Amino acid sequence: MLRGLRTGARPTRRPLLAPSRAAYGRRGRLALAAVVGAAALAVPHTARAAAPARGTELELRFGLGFVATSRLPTLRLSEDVSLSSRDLVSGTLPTAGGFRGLGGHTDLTYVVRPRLTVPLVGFGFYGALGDHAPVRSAVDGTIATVQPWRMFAFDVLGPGLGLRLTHRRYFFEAITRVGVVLYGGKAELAAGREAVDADVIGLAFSVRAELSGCRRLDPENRVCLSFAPRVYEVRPLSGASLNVTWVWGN
Amino acid sequence: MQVTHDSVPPGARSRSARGHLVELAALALAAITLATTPACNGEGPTPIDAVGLGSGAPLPRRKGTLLVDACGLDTWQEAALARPTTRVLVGEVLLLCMVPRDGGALGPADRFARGELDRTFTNLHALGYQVALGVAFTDETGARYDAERTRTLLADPAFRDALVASLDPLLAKVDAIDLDLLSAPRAARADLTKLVAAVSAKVRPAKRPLGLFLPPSVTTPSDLPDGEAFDRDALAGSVDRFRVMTLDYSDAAPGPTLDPGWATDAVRLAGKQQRETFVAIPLYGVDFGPRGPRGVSVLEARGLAATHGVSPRRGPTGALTFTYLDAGQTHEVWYDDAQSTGQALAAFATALPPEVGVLYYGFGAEDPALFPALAERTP
Repeated sequence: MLRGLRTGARPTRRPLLAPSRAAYGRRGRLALAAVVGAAALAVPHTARAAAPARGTELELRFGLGFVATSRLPTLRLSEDVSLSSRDLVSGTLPTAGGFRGLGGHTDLTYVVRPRLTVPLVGFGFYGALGDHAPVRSAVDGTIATVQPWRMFAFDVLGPGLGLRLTHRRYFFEAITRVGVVLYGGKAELAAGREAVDADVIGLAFSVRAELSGCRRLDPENRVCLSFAPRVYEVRPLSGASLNVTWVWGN
Repeated sequence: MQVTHDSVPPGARSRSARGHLVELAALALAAITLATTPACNGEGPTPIDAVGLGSGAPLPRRKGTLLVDACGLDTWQEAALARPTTRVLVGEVLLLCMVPRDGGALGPADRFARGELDRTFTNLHALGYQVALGVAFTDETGARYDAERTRTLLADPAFRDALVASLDPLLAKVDAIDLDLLSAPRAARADLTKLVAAVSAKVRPAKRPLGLFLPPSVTTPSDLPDGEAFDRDALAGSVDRFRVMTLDYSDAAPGPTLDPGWATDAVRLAGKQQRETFVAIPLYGVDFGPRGPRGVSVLEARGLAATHGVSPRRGPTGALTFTYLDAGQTHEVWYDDAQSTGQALAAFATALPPEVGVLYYGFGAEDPALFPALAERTP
């Protein structure tokens, strides 16, 4: 069973998930020191004074979120489709409009206390929420209607970098990170007087910022409210998500 | 009060963490379930037009031909042709009106009719349009010859010679010639090829392009009953352009007149043999009644819907449709308006190269808003 994820301040309580100091290479320590130094210079002196002890840890995050974007990526049929009007339709569907969804996410973050946060990997899944307008489109000449209300978004978030300011029970965090979003769902393809359901998928590269305010519940648990604008996803400033996150690790 | 690390037993913290984990997992599951429940999401009222399909999205400029199923123009057609918006889309008017008589000579041949025809050519040229003259295998009442009669006529060398010879006086007055031999049966394949070659030998030296109406086959050999009457490889060498008749997609059972995906395949196949191809766009609708299909204009379709108090709805391709009862019998009407035709042309925008032209078939039956709406989207 996993225990607390803290290291550094109390070496005897170092958890299984945290890497040992011996595992760090010299170059890694130098790089971290450079980043931490730069981050420390960027943090006001008063905040620094309120920061807790130094050390490293892994944090596990898990939460609920609402996401809204203004633009879907270009979708494509996930496989060739045979219609009564033609054989084997394949290709891409231009899209318009956005996506609103509700779902959950999880994240693993490496923290170099007191101020540096390094998101490692995260996953999220959101189902469409609310009314979405159908999107008229076409795939290889066949009229198609994308149905965003039958779509989902699956986030795979990669590494990033962030700063953290701690004040008593609270900490505030600003993170930027990259990832990809897989959109999937349904489109109707026109075949004469029939409409045929087809699976569509689309992939978007995503750059996100994440601004969080967190409150300590106990030494290992915190709850955070985050606002995460999508700096770039299909186009600049294409949306944002609002998350309530539980953080386990300190 | 702040809870310190040491004041909570390790076991209690683990249970607390597990509890939070379970609670949040349950909440996330509930959120996803809620989000994907039909009661919480659904189809919005106003469709969004994607890139290329929207009413405001630009359409690629293509060579446009307007087919008139007559030898002359009525005042509606004259007025429409005079509008600048029509000229944006159309550069050529095809008069599908010449019909071969029993001996092969083309009619109408009487002096008055030819005089009217000449005036039509002059008017069209004055408006800035090129004029193509179409030869259709129909009788003088406009009824299409059946397969057997077409085969018999094509097999007669004297008929073919007379038809070619009667083109002579017309060539100087028009800019192109088109042949409509769609009623030819498979058995007429060789004779059809001979006729086209003979017409080509007459027309092309006079610097007049020759066009051929082609059945909308999507496979080789043809998937259509008499599609193999057209030896595409041989014909491609004799003509300058294929007009692919992507019309009447639904002929046996009610349905839209055009399916853009099917039309894409038909034009692509034709493009393998002929560089210059045209996709046909129907300007008319069809009323499928108990006695068979009947062509209707868009205004007539709207009149029928209003008369019977029904509201047309859009089918999957965007075409409008409604049903009505007449004398206790059900009719189903399908027709295209400016929106659905624009949608079809937008679907072709990425599927067909810009060299593919558009043949607007059935001038006079169209939605009055069609050409202004399309012209607005054509840069």
